Amino acid sequence: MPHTCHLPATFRYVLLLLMLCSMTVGAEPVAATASENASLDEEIQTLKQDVLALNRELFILEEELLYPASTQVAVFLSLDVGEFFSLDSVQLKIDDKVVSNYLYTPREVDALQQGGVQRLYMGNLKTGEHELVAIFTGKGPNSREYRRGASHVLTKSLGARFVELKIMDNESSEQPDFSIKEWE
Amino acid sequence: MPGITRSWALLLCLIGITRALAAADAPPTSVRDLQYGEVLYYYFQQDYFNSIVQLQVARQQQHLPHHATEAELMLGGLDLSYGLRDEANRIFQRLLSEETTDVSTRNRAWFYLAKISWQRDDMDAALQAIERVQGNMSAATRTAAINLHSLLLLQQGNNKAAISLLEDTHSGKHWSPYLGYNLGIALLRDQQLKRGTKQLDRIGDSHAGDEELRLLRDKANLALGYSYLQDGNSQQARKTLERVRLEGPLSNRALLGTGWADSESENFGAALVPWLELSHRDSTDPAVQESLLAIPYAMTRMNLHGRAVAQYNDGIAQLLAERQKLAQSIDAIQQGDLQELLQQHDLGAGNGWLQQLHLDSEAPALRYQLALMSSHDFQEAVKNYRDLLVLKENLSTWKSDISAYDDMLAARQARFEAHRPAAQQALQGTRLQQLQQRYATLSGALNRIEATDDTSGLANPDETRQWQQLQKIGAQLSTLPDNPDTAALREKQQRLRGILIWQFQSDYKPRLRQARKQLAELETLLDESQQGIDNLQQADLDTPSGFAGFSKRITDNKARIELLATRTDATLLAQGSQLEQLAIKELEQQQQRVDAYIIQARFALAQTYDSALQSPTGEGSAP
Repeated sequence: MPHTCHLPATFRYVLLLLMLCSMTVGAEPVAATASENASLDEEIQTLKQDVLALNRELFILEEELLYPASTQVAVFLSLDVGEFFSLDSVQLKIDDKVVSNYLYTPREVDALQQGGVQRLYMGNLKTGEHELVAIFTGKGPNSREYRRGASHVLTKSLGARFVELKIMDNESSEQPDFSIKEWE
Repeated sequence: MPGITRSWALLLCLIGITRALAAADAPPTSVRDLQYGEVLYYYFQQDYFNSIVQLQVARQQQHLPHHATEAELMLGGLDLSYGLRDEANRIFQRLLSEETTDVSTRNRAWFYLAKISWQRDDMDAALQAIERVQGNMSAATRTAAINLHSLLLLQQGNNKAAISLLEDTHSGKHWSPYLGYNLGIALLRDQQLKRGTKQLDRIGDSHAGDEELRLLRDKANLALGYSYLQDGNSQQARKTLERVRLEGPLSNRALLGTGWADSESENFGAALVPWLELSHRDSTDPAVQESLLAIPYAMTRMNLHGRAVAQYNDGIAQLLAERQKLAQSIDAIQQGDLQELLQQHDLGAGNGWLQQLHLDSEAPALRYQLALMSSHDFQEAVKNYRDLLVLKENLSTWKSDISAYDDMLAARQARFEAHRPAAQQALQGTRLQQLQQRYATLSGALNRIEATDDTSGLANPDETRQWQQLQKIGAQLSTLPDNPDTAALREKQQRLRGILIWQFQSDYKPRLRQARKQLAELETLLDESQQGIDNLQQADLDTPSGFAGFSKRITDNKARIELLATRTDATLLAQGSQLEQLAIKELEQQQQRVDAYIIQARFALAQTYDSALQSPTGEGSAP
């Protein structure tokens, strides 16, 4: 709602003058610019799509080249609710070797709390048994420092394996639960 | 300048109201495929680029069997958020053309199509699409659709239809304060002042739990206050405008209006209070500039001509300084400072990137960012510019990464060649065949034992040895003459034989089960070994051509990266230029307004001098 209608006559004159100015300044160039802008917008859309397609192709190429299905292992992390645990960082060890140390930003924790799942690690493992150990650090109930681990023996066969590290609230104990689950 | 920082963040919230409402449901967060959860991880960080890439990769790798339709709808929504309106349009049209698409998905597709048409300024198409949203739908979709529908009707000037739509919704569970605000505005525009006033007053007097609602409350009070002013009800106007928060992003306009409300009541002394407060605020704001003229105007009306002259002179000096600053800003933008500043920010911050701009609010090129960002075209241009910078960085990263792929491929090839002789030897060997034959023999023996109930066939080595000994002893005893000693021995042999037979019979079934189980495990192992051999054979055949395939893909993609990088640079240049033109156009309009204020102030100053000369109080003597 324009506030100018209440101005005394002298001020209204100012605004009228302004309107006249803005109406007369380069009406034609504006039309030309609009068409240029439209084609620039189309080019940006096409370019974005082309770069997206390139990224899709390169991600798949990278995965096939670096992590062939026969040895591929991907470890994901999810957070369910998160009322009794505020995640700060995760350390992941496979066969006693640290393969990932991840420190979370508040933005990432928020995305996890809303239902997002993070790909924490991607690597290669030979067929056979391997021990996964995840150490979670953060704030537990009553904002106390909290550090807990979970372990799992993964039997790697020939196909790609997906593993999920899950942090869930345990309503009955009012404590967080940490578990590791393999996906088929 | 903390005031600016705060206002900037709040202004973004203000812009965000429509955006937040214009989004239909959040995507389902019940994750049944891990890769779908990964897409959500990026989505919730508003990283639409990576969200789209991960979604496309997961679909190509067939990792989303449980989220196929949602993924398609989500991709359309992501494309739209990422500015790919044409692609989003195609996806939603395709979803609508499929007979299998359910009602909920159809509603969301129509909603997004309406939004796309709205963004393209095609109001008729937008209205046609939004009218197709009907039937059962979630509360979030219903509220978002009604909001968009009412905005479209208001934009078309069809206030009555907007009122009817919003009033039909009013008592339902889909009602939100934002819809209430739209209803209030529609009623005022339709000259239903009493009802419109009541509607906005309800929002303006409400308890607001969060910042967005507080902003909506300020908006309602501002709109209502100016409506009262227009209606000549200055007392109510003042009361309403005073409810706008003093530190909020709308406070300048509220202070200006409060002064005008007092002025309308001929209470010029009171009008000076908000205007003087306003005059000390950020001089880039038109409301502040206007206060520089309003203050001496009030003083003139109070017959304080001398002070008015001083204030006019002071105001003219400030406006001239402002004009100078505007010229400096235009000059800085023409020199490329705006683009340079935009390039200095962290691109990884998603939409937070825009909020970081206030850090450089003192730099001439960004001094008028508040005014610039209130323009939709400029906002879109900045977003596109930022997206292009991200693309440039993305391509640069891939360019560096892909150069290492050749080395990795060479290393894999070398490793393959090193292991190949041993593998080929393994392929040519007959060990697995021998094992398979032994398995066949064992399997046949077990079948025979089971068919003939040969309980001794499953005896363990000790029992077999004992059985054979007893058989041998039995044969020897049969050759001995009959006498009591022999009879005792024969009886003992028979007893032991009976015990052994009883043992065979009682252990037969568990042993048979155990044997079957072991045989099955053996079969699995042999199958896996065969699979391994098959894979090895396939790898031996495929891998050399696979290496060639990888090599070609790497080479092709290197060329693609180069081409896209060149295109991105050219587009970035064009977008940067468009951004500068938009900024300069806006600042030139500001210059025109300041010029007009200066002319007006000089004109009013001359009038004030005249009045001062005629004033009987003598207060009007020139300073």
